[in-house]
Amino acid sequence: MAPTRRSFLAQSVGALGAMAILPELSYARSQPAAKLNIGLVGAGRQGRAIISELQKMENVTIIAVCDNEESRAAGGARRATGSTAYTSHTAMLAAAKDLQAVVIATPTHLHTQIALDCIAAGKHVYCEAPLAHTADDCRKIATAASAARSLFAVGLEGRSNPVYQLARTFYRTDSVRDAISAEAQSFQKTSWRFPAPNADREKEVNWRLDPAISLGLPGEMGVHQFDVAFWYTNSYPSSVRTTGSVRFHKDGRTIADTIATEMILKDELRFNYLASLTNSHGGKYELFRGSNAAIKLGWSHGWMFKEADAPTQGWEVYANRQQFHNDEGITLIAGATKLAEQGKLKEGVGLPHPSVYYSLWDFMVSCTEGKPAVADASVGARATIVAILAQQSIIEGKTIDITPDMLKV
Amino acid sequence: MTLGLDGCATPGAIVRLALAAMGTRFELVLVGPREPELLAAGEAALEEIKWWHNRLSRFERDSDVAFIAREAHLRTASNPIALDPDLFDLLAMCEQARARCGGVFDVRLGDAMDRWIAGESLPREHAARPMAEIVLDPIRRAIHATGGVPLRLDLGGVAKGFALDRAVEVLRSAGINNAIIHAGTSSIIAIGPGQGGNGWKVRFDGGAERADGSATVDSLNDASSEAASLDVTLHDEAMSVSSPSGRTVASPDDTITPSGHILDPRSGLPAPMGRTVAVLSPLSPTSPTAAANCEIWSTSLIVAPNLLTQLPSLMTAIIRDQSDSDWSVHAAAESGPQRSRARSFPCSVQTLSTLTCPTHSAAEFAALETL
Repeated sequence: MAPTRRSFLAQSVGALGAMAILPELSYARSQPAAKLNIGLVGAGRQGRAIISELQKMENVTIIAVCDNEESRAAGGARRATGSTAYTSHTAMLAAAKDLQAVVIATPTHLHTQIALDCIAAGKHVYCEAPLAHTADDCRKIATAASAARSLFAVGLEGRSNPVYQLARTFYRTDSVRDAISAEAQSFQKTSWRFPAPNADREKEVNWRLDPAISLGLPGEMGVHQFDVAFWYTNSYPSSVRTTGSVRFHKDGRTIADTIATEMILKDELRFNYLASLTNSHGGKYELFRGSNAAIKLGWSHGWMFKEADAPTQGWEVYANRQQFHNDEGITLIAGATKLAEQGKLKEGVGLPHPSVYYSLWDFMVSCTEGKPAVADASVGARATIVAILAQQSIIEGKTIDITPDMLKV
Repeated sequence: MTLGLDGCATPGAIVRLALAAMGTRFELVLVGPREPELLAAGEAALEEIKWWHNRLSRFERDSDVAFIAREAHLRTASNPIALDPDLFDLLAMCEQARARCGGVFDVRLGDAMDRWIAGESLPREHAARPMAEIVLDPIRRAIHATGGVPLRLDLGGVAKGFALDRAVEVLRSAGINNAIIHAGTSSIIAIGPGQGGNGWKVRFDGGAERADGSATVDSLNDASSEAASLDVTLHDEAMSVSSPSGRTVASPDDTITPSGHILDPRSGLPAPMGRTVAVLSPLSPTSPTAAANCEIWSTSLIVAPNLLTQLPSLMTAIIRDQSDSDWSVHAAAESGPQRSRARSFPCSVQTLSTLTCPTHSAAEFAALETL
């Protein structure tokens, strides 16, 4: 069918406008160049999500699933058809001769030894964030990774997320202009307590509530969002202050269920972070305010809210919009150029895969094509160390100054 | 639907939790010795439901169903899409049901449902529209589609029951043996003896309907409506209730006409109004899809009453053809003698099958339980 004048204009202006200011950020990616055999360590909830996303990728085969709980290892191997179950990562490394890469999705405090053993075995490694539960362990991993010939990537998902990559191009240009503030939140309603098969394993299963090993909300929830702020602003904080308390889940725990963090970034930019396990309103997002616009990021979606006096780009006329109470947000769509050309811009709202898919994808591509990791061990270590200090600030009840030496890895 | 917590004979804790998912409200009640363990188990069960919401919704762009719609017809037998084994089993079960029901139950209705919701008249072109064929590879637990068109699945007739089945697996693995969980009051699983030890009591009825097909508030407390209701006590059983109400069509003269939300996949026509079907099935370790199966059969029996003869063993169907007619109870032919399930349940009535919006507030839920 011949295009109407309006559709022609929409496609042309959308395409030209997008081309004028947008890089080509398409999620219609090619498959990894070569086949890759993967082993998964940690078959809990995150491990299950990882299996599900890896199975979408052609040329990727999960050949081993490892978990120190036998039933979970077996369950994971059942989900990854054709894989073998192991109950220790050392057994997996010894037996799975064709293993090329390992994805680590265990509790945080177990990352270090597994990561070091996998690096020593010459495997490519993808490790979930936070990288480790102590700053020393973060540095150990980063040191070993930098000396290795294999790849080491950290699952800081924002950096691989196409919407976040696109929004960052706006943040780094005149579209947002002078950075005013950054804020983020992660709100959900959950006890953070998981069922244990018996009383003996209760503490092991509920490691997030164990102050000896848990990084609390700053580490387990905040690190991904902290890293987005660091990545967007190209800076790390000079200080961090977190307050927190048990507001609701008064079941004997000492790990705060509600926190507020303030960090000072480059040029005195304040980054405020709220997290809670007591209320889900607003969910999880990051918000960057500038003198021309604000950008809100919600992991699968992103929006730009423009000030009335901000200059208008040609493509905005045909952009997709959503109403938020009194504000109208321009939907940020990855691959907008191509979609606009096809007249399918609206179909591009929201990512076609969960966020973790994209960081796993980048890892696969880096492994098979020899490209550097999108978030390497040093990036993961620095974000994690800041999260560790944020949690430490709750315990010590004071602001912690962060010197460059503290983030040196 | 009313969930009964009769009496307080059993000491210990009761935990109630809820979750908005699959366009409805899931709620659960757990009974056990200690609240922290019940809470942990209940949250894990709801997390499981959320997982399946994210995987099965055709409205979520990053769901597995959306991925299948984008990819399955581009794949072949040599490179099919690998599926989670539970999702594979679900699709295999749906395909078996399609065969057993002669096409009355068909999950390939995503495209038709979208057009139906958008107000398009389907029957004229429905039969002529090409439909993708599902090809399942049981060895690789994988899927691809043939036919050259996208495979647009609509799992609305089975997903809630399936999510309940998976949630109950989580509860059982966490040691929970006394609980009730429902999805928007249309599907329900009860495990264990209930709080009073006599089972979990549920009441449902066809209710009087407004012109737009929704239940009236008055009908919920109306004596004649209550007389027409049916009380069921569930012991380790799943139950699903279907009725074609809940959708309306506005004619050019602004007349609002009830029009069912269940389509006959064979014709594209909506199922006739008036009928209410409940299907019950016992739970057992060998039937981990009891609620999903109940949903499939309650939906199918709305479309094609003659399928009663095909009802799988151990299932019971309870049917009312019109809001003023009597309930009839039908056991599967292989199930042995018919058994009457009607019980008395002295509390107010919440219509199970005729709510326009199949949700009610937590406060309402709590109030009903204490009656």
